[in-house]
Amino acid sequence: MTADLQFLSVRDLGGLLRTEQVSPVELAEFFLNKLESEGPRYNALVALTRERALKQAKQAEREIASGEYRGPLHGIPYGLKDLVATAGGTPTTWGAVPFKGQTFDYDATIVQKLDAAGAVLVAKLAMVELAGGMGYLYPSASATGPAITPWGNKDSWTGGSSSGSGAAVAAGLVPFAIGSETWGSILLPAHNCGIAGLRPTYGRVSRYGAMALSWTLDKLGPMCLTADDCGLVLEAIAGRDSNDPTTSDRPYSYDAEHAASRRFKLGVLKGMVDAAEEEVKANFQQSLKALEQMADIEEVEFPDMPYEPVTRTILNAESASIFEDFFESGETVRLSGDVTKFSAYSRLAVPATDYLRALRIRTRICRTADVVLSRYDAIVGTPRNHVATPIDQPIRASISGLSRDILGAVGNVAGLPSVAVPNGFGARGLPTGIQFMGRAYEENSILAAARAYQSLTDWHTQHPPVG
Amino acid sequence: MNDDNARNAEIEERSAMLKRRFGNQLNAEQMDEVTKGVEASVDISLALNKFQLDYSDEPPSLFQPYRKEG
Repeated sequence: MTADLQFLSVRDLGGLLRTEQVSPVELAEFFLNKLESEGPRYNALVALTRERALKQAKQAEREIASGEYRGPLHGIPYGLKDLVATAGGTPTTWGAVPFKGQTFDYDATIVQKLDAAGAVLVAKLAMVELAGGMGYLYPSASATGPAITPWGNKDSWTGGSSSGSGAAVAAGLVPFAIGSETWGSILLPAHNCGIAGLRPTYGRVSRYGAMALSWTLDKLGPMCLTADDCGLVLEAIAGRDSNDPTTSDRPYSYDAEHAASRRFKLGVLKGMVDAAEEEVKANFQQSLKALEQMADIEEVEFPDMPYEPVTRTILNAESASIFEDFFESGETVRLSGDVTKFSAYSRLAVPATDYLRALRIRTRICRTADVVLSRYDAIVGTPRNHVATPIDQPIRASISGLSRDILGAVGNVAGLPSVAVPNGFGARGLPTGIQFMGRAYEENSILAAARAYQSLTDWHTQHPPVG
Repeated sequence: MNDDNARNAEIEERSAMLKRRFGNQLNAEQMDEVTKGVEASVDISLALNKFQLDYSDEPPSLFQPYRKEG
């Protein structure tokens, strides 16, 4: 039985748990053992939380047996990107050598919410150091080494910065994981690892207890095997939190039947794949062909605005303030990244007027993006225009300098939700993805479109050879 | 001052400020990376400044006056 558990969706595992065909303790032990034996192969693991997991699993077992079923995450193991604080002595390293011994005496709000849903924390997962906050040129910029996607020849990068979350879900080491995105850090690993990743609307999920990289750009979100699972997890972690004043009062309830019987209206960003690798382009076009069965699709353009410079300025200025003491300490030399990490010091010289100008333009961008998106259920695009980089090669950074990532820049600076799901394979047997980005608070619309796409394709049912 | 001169002057100014602050901490190779970062951020500044804002365009704000309950 246990061998069949590895790549089951959260929804399917939940069914087995609810009907007591599998016990939470059995499930926790299964994934703890998988993480322990296979996690290091992908540099995916920072720490197992075995004691906590078994305690939670035993409690779930008692509750389910006595009819106190909490919902679809009850008894489901999960992994947590190691920038989210947990109590109990397990370090929260932020992926960085200088913070290897850092501990917290409280659980982040997202952990408390997952506890309340009955989910079982089995591991803290690897990440790019400081969520990429210092900039980096190589996948090795992590205290745990370069994280490896389980696809291809097992020599390519997971993407970052939610690297371990991507690898662990793709390799079947956890049924779901929590990642974070400031600019690309959920969607990129989802793309490189062939899984589903949901970047929620800014403010949907409390950031309290998560490492801050940019107060106004950071989002926490689920990484799962399917878009449907992302909805199940989002419902558990969303909601107002008095400890995070940026959280929204708008309630979120996942609707797995949303728009089930109507055609969607989708936009495709003009020129989206012009510069893409051939296979990425072909997979995207094939995806659009599949989507035509259930959607009216038209080309769309965002008005010419400085999307990337605005996003970059906000990220640079806020991260400089957040890490100013760290810069001053000189501890940057202990980071694992190459010499390009020192370019981050330049952020301390961003003028206040630039930051405020970027924020003023941001207000315009938010309104403009909403006008464009209001015509569609989602705008579709690629999370990245190339497959994963070999771990020993410089990454083709799409978030550095003035490089082009319009959809990522608009989506993150305007705080819009997007979900990425796998859509095929490219060079070296590595996965590619497609993203569905929607209006603020329209997670159910984009999840419905992604779910419909997954009902027409079987990429999400394919898994890398493991074990 | 033409655009190139203005750009170079801004890069020099910001780099000098950072060198004053971190020159004792960083070696020459590391300071070169700082300068590359400054160059990129000055180019970003120039891109931002090309966008025409109205006087009424305000930044989004979370600020709220505080008053303790009770």
